[in-house]
Amino acid sequence: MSKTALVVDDSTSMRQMVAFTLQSAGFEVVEGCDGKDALAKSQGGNFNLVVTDLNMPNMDGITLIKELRTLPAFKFIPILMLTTESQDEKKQQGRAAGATGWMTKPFNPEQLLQVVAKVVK
Amino acid sequence: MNWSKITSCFTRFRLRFFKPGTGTHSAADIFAGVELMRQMRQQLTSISADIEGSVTGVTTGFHGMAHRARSAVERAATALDNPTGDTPIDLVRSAMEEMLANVRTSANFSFAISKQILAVEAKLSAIEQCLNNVEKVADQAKLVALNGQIEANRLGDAGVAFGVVAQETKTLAGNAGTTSESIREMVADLGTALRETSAGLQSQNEKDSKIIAESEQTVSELLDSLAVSHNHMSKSLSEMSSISTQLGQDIAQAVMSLQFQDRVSQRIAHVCEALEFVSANLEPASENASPLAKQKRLEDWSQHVRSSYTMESERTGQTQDVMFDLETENADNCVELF
Repeated sequence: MSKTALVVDDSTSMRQMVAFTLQSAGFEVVEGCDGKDALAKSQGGNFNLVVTDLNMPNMDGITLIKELRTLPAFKFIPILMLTTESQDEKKQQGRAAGATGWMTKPFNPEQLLQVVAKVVK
Repeated sequence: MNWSKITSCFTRFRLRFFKPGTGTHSAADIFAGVELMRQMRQQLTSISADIEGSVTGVTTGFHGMAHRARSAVERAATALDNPTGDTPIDLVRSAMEEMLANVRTSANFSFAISKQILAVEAKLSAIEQCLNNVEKVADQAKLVALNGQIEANRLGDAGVAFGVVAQETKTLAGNAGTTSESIREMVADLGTALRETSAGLQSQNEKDSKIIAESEQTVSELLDSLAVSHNHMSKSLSEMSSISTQLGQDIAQAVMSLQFQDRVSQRIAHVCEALEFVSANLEPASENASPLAKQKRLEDWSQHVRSSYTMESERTGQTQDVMFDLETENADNCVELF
């Protein structure tokens, strides 16, 4: 049975790049254009991984992670932040919110898959 | 908000549109500046969308290339792969060798039958020898019968019974001779048939052996040739696989490079925010200008800005809230004849 990933980014092209990368590793991908959209799509879904941007309209990545972690289905699901932001302060916020890892854009597809292989059991 | 960015934008704007030493700028100047900044924000947003659309198209193309390259290599690998470790050529060679071995066994069997027929011929000669003996015995019996008949005649009435026995003996000896002659003819016919069959079998055997030897050589040469082709294919496949891996790495590098668009879009969004901030703060200062002065100043400055534009999409973007549609523009303007 294939795994499913929730990819959240307000940039269509970034969502597409992440989706293609994960699809090449056998993932099915559900895309969210911001935190709010992703939170709506997370309801009832059976996800194995979340990859989210930080700065997005309507709901940012940190808030999304906090909201997802309150849901029983996402309590132990790996959540990766994929963002241009590299400030330690932001990383700490992400960790505190419940992020599993942090990747800075631009991302290397192979590196993303290596990280995903480590966190997705 | 990045103040240095806002200051930089504002300074560039001042240097472009306001000449030094002209004193305080009028409310109409400010109105025109604010309006142009609004138009520039639209342009930047449109540019950002254009870049994103192009990058999305390129990414889709790269993904399709990578997918097709992977699929081609996987299909070729599946076609050449065998769970037993034997190549298809090995399997064909094994099957052909087994088939030729069966044909050879069949030919050997024919050869053995031919030999057995020769042995039967030898037995027929022995039968003929036996028939000679039978005929000699019959001849001797005839002589005995003749002598008996002579003795019977010499004895007169006393020899009548003996004469009957002698006569019967003569008849039996004649029958034995006739039967022996018939058997000899049948044995001769049988011998002829066996020799013909044996000769036919031997001839066919020689032909079969020659055909088998030629077939073995032809099959061996063909399979060797196929093996060479197969090796070339395997080598090509290996190279294709390597190329596919390199292609994947190249695409990964391209995908990384294409992510400049995300950073550019963010920076453009930040510049737009800065422009909006400046506009919002300048706008109240333009309220005292008359509509006519505002219109005049805006037309002058717009004309100045338009003079540097080279694309219709820029001109359209300056005056309307219309996104740049690359496909439509290309369809309409890709060819121009003079």
